[in-house]
Amino acid sequence: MALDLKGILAPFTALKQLGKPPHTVAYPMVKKPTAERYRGLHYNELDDCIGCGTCSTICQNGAIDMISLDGVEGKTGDSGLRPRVDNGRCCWCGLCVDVCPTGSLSLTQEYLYITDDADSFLWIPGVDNPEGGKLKSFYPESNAQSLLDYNRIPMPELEGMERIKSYAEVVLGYNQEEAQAEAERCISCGLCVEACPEHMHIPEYINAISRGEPDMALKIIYDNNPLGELCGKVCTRRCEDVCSIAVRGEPVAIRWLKRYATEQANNIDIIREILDPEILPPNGRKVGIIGAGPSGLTAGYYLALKGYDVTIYEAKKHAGGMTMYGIPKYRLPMESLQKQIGYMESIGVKIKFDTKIGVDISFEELQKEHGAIFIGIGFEVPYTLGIEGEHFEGSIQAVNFLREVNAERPVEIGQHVVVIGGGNVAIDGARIARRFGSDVTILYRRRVADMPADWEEIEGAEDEGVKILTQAIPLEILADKNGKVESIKYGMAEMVDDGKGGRPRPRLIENDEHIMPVDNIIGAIGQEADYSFIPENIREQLEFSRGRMVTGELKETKLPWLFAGGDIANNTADAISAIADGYKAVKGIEKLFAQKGQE
Amino acid sequence: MDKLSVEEAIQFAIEQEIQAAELYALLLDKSTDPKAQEIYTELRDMEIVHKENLESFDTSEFNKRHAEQPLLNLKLTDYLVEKTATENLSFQDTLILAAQREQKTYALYAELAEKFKYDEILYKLFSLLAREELLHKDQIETLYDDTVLSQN
Repeated sequence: MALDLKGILAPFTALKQLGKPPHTVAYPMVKKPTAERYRGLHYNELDDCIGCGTCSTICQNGAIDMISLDGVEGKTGDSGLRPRVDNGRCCWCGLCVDVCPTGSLSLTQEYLYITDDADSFLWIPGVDNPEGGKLKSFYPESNAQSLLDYNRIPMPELEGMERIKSYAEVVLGYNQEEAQAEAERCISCGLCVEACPEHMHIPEYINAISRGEPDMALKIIYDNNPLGELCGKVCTRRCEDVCSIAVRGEPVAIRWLKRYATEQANNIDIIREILDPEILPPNGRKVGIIGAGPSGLTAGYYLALKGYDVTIYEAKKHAGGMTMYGIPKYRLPMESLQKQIGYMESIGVKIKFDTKIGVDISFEELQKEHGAIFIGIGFEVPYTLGIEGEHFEGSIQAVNFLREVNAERPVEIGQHVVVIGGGNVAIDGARIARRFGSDVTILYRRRVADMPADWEEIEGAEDEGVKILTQAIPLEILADKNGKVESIKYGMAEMVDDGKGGRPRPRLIENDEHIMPVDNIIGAIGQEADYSFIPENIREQLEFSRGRMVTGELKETKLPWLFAGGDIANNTADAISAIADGYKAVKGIEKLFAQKGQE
Repeated sequence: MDKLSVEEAIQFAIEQEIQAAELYALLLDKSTDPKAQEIYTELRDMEIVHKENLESFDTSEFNKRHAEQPLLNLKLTDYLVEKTATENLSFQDTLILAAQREQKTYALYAELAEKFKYDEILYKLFSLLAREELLHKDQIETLYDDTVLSQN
């Protein structure tokens, strides 16, 4: 019998495999390298996340909810919430990452998670894997990879030099196609609602526009803002400052979309037909409103809807306050304002024009006639520059200049004009002066970045040829022998830290003075209120702080029957804040009458 | 005022504060502008606090008081038209008046510090008082910058 040597040795041939590296992976001790753009467990950069919740909204599996975390505080533009992922539901499709507007959310190379505790499948990216940022594999490397559109639909407008030939409206407005395309950029996160002083229903009206329903958008806008078209043209749009799309792109043009929706109703009858307002029967309660600016008009409108007998007392010929007499017609045409106010009158708001309290009717009489009074007189008295030579002929105030121009009264202005200030009033004054053909320079004590004016207005002014000289402090106005303004002396400023975290303050640099020849100087450094129409015995019972009336949550003053709103009662001094004040005061006035009814 | 004891110097400063408080109280009484009234009330109360601080002043505190508080010195009073204390000044003019008064009192103390340079304690005292006036001027100028010059 032959020896089967092969058969004997064959099993030992396997021994040679012992020295060879294995073909398999020692799972789970060793992980297999993942593919490029692998979609593993989530990671969230907590500091970059703004809690918009878009990831949660888009998730088709309902795997993401938004929760609050210790140490993460909500603030304007950040809900304070952060996403939590249920790994038992997630299918790692990556949609949440594709729509994350900040780019904070990503998927990682991590795919292993073993536990016998079902609850622990809920985890908070960035908290439960703080080192996950080093393993990011699926994340937007550029905006082009995102499902979001970061670029705004450009707003058609007149070209710079064309504008200064007339008072024609500079912004031309979106057409339907443009408005719908712009509206579709909105992700309905709602962060804008919190930032808006009036908390308008922004995502709702934008969604209506994107569906091609501007009438519905108008109804939603009028739910808490009866001056939507005004805001659509000149709002300070704090909503856009916090738009989540703006983190990596251009904010949704919320203001322009509101403008589009409100402009579709181009006369009072159409507004009335669309809104079909429910006006409650008269309740016999009388409210007097002093000042037909945005706050007074808003209070008047919603009170009238609720059956109150409202009369607004306006010292001037037209309603609108500073929006009528202070904002140039190329930004807010008269017809637009008249249409909005005319609609208010049509539902029962009475406005007594050319009626000055304390002159044409006494405050006491007003008090006697009405159960509640709302004051919304605005800041119409300009601060002076306070420097030598301000009395010379040719030195004027922007608010007076704008008022005269808007009232279409004759105004004379020279070839070389200097405007002092950096707010919207200064920019408006400068741009109007350009329409008179003047060469205009703005002198501003701080830097362009510090200007309180709307950046689009600043750019608009520059496009129209306005020059801006920053860190320049006016020191003295010089005149010729006839007392006519001839030049302005100004000094340069250095910016100093105030040590309290506030904006840097300008300090005059010694011996760095200059003289600029000029025909007119237009002051626009700020305004204050004139309370002289309020009798002293009433004034003494009110509280004032830094020139403003102190009011409560519902704009009530120290006197239960007296309410105040707008510039005189808030620190933001813009139209939307005034509208918000008027709206709050409606609730305050209702509460007052309800309490009276119980007595 | 060629010779002065520390007590007399402090008494002199107290009188300055009393005069200022009385002036603001008088202007408050005459004013009908609620915005100016608010400022006058604050200024009057501030001067009374300064007076009380001086009354309990301890010369051993020289090195502690406001030693590290930096001065902004915006120099607004350098170019704003001088205001005199008259009835019914506006809110704006009230602030200018107050800042200019602090500037003048600063100059007075600075001059006295220079005059009594030979006396270490008096020199330190007047220098401290001068610095305090500059701090007060800073506060008023800052308020002016925040309110009147909010758009500039």
